[in-house]
Amino acid sequence: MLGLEVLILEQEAGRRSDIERALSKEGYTVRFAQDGPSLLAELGSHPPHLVILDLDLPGNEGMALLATARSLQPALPVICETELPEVEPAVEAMRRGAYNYVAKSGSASYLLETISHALERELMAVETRQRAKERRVRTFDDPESLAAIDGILSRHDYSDSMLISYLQDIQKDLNYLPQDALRFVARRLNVSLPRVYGIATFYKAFSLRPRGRHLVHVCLGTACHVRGGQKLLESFERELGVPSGETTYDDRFSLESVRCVGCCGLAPVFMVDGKFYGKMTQEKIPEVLSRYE
Amino acid sequence: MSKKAVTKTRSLSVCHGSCCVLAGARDVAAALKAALKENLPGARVKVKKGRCSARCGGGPVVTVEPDGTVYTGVTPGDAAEIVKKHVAGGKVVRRLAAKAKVEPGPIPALGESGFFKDQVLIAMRNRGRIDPDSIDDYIANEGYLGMAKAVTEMKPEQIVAEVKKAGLRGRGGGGFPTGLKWEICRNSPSCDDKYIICNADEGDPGAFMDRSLLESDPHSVIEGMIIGARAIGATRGYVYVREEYPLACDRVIKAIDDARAYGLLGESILKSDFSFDIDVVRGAGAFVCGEETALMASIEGKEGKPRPRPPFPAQSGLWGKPTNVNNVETWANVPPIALRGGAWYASLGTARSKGTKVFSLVGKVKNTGLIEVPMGTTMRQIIFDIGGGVLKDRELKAVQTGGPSGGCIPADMMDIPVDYEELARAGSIMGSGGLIVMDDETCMVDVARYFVEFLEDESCGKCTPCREGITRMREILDRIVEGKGKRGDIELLERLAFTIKEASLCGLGATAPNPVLTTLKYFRDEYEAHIYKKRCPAGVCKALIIYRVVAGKCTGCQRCVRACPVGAISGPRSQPHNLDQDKCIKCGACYEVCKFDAIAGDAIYVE
Amino acid sequence: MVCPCRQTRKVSSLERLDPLKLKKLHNELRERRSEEVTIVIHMGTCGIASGAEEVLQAVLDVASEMGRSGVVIKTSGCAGLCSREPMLTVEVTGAPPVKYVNVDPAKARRIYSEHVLGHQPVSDYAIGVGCERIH
Repeated sequence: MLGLEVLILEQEAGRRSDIERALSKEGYTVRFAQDGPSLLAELGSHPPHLVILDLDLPGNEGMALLATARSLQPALPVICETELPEVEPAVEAMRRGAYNYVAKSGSASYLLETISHALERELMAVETRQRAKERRVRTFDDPESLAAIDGILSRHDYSDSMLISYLQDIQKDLNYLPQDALRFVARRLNVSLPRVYGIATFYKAFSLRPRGRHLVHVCLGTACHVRGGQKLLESFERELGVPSGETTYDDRFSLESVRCVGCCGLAPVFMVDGKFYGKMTQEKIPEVLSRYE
Repeated sequence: MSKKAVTKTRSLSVCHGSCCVLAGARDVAAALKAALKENLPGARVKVKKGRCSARCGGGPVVTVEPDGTVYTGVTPGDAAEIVKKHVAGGKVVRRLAAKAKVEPGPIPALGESGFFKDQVLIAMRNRGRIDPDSIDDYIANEGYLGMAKAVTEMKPEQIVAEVKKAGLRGRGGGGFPTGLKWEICRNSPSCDDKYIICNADEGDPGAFMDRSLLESDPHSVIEGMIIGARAIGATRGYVYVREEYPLACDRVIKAIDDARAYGLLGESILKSDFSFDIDVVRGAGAFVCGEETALMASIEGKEGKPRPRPPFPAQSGLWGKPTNVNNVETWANVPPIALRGGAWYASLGTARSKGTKVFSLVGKVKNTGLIEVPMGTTMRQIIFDIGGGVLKDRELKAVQTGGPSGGCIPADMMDIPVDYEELARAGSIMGSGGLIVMDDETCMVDVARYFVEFLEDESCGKCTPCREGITRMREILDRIVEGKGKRGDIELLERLAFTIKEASLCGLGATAPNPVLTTLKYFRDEYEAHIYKKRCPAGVCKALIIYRVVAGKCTGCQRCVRACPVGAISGPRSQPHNLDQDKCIKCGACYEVCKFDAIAGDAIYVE
Repeated sequence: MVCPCRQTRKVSSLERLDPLKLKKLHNELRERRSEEVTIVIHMGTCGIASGAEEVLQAVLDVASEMGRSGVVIKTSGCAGLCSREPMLTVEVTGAPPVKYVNVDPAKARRIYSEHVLGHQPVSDYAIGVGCERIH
């Protein structure tokens, strides 16, 4: 946990040193804010990775601070602490955007666990944002990419009747059909861009968006349907946290349904990267997914 | 004369297990027939094709019935002796008689019970015996002999005549007579090229015989296509394979290369003046491409949308040339017909449906798999004898045939013999041969909705009745399964179905209402239960069911507690669990684990 | 996975055939029964999905441990009975072939040592003995 900064506003000295000891041991950098205004100032000048906030500050200052802090730094995880945990303030804290609400009397290990969960989530979010940014700027109109596509087109002498086959090969190499590639294909084969787009959108095999590292295909053929294929798909949606047709935030999986993969004797069936898994139940899904990184 | 006819022998059963056939059983059968005709004219002794009695290795095996004498290692030369001495004279031919009865061992004979007993193979004749990547294995099993005969000994008209005599009909769904289709294409004038296509865009969900045939025996399809090309006068062929079938694709490509290397495909086949070659085209995921005109558009590199007919593909098909399309199973039936003649093929089957049909027997049935049975086998035989009955011995509700264009046949019609006409009479179709078995836990309204949703997805959108009509049907079915069905919905569905059937451009739309119509016809009470009582009798439709823990049965094993994705089930070990209805998302995970893995087995029930 | 028998088999001459040569080749191949035992692992899509590749690997492993002289190991397409896959068939020349179902690597090892090498069918795993009927 090196280099991760935790900013703490805690009025009790004893608790301050307890937390400091526990966090330092794990390698966190700990900073303390004297009071509300200095906490907010710190957020502006040196934003930390996480905040621990004492809700027992006089008045209702804690709650007010929480709301302000979250509005300044919407992605910042805030963990609230209190001497006397009660349901109502807990609900209010969560509503105001706290990551969690813990009792000061709780064990240090519980606090550490909560912190690491919060940071993990935060890091994942950062990574996702970064990736999304990269994805948007990733282009394929450099000479090298175009030469590769040209190579595919030359396999069938640039004949436009092989258009479907070209697109299949391009998708095999690039994992999806980027805009640049479609434009180049239209130009090179001397066919209209709408015709290329028509093909790319008519056939289900094509994707105009990047897909994850692993492709999950859940079969919804009739045999799979009567033996619970739809429930299997819904279970995947819950497990991966994305609806069918989407890619997980970490780009690990893309989830798609398919109309019969022709393995009906083992229904219900799903495939990961072309490998079949038959006679499946919802319970077995996490184990199978864990085999793919 | 009359004395000769009183022989005690009723039949000579020649084992037609694959071992015996390989050892020459067909020739023995022919020789026995000839010997009977010569020595005992008028006697009513049949020569039958028997099941395997597990005496393989000593084949060919002939069993004399009713006395049960078994002869092994019979050659055509022995036929006269068996007929004269045994059939006419009533004396056993000691020289050939099997030494002892085969003791029934601990392992049952395949031909005597279970999954394999009632199957007769033509299309899948090499199943489980040949390496699909080995052309030599195929040739060892009479491969390419039919093609050699067709190319070198028969005139194209004769090939067409034999296929017509065989009564072979399109196995992809339509059931159009194959010979007639070939004849039309053959007679269609063309200045240069004609094409033939193998449709391996197996789109019907629940059917996978095309995939299996291509993966297991690609040469039989290629050989069939060469024979078809010869008959029609085509110079080029295409195999259009679904993109979901990469293994099938690889194996066909390998088979084509091997056939070319042997000179069985390409320029001057078998050193004759006949040339024909085949290319493989991968589909890209569109159900409608199973339709002939859409498929051809796709091969041309266009969007796979059907076009109105006429002109028919036989007149103007691929690139405007006469084109003949048949599916994988149809092609796989052609080589043996060319080799043994149409009459041989037509000796199996019913009056108007000849030969055998491959079915994919799937769904709620014990033995799932691919089966090949003579046309006219009853549905009951298929499900209970071959399939071993319904899974977990639950109650059979219906069998769905024909894919999304087909229908559901109810349990009380299981005695119908399966052929094109009988299935049509029951309101369904043969289709490509998917048989999906449904039990009392299958909701027929949900099944109808499933197919309609499928077709809504797959409609190419070109004509309005299909595009809009199917969507409206799906909306109505949606509200019925959600418990919001209204009085009059059933009648509205029927009216819509009629319009879509009448006004759609291609087969997809014209048959799209079938699943709704047959379920309405046979399972109207289920629709009514959904609409009026807001109940789903099968316990499938989420909005109409709740899961409950039966306190008396629950052993508190906690499997469901762990399986529940939302933490709706709680309770200490060894005590009946509690299911919180507010949290429950009705995913059925608890029901699944309770049924299959938990100690209690049935403590979660659906209401 | 490539069928293991092809790795050892001589690639047949790529001679172009005429009708007579085709018939001759057919007769030769039909008669060719050099080996004592054939073990066929059925590898259609359902078989592979149920673990036929692992079974094939187990058979190859046990063959290299216990010997494979006189044994042909080959693969085929689907055997038809998906619900009981993976399946394999053992045929000792002169005796009817035996079909095994629900095979896993451990069962495959036992079948190899008892039936392929010892010529004693393993009745515990077998579904049937004999051939399928063809028309």
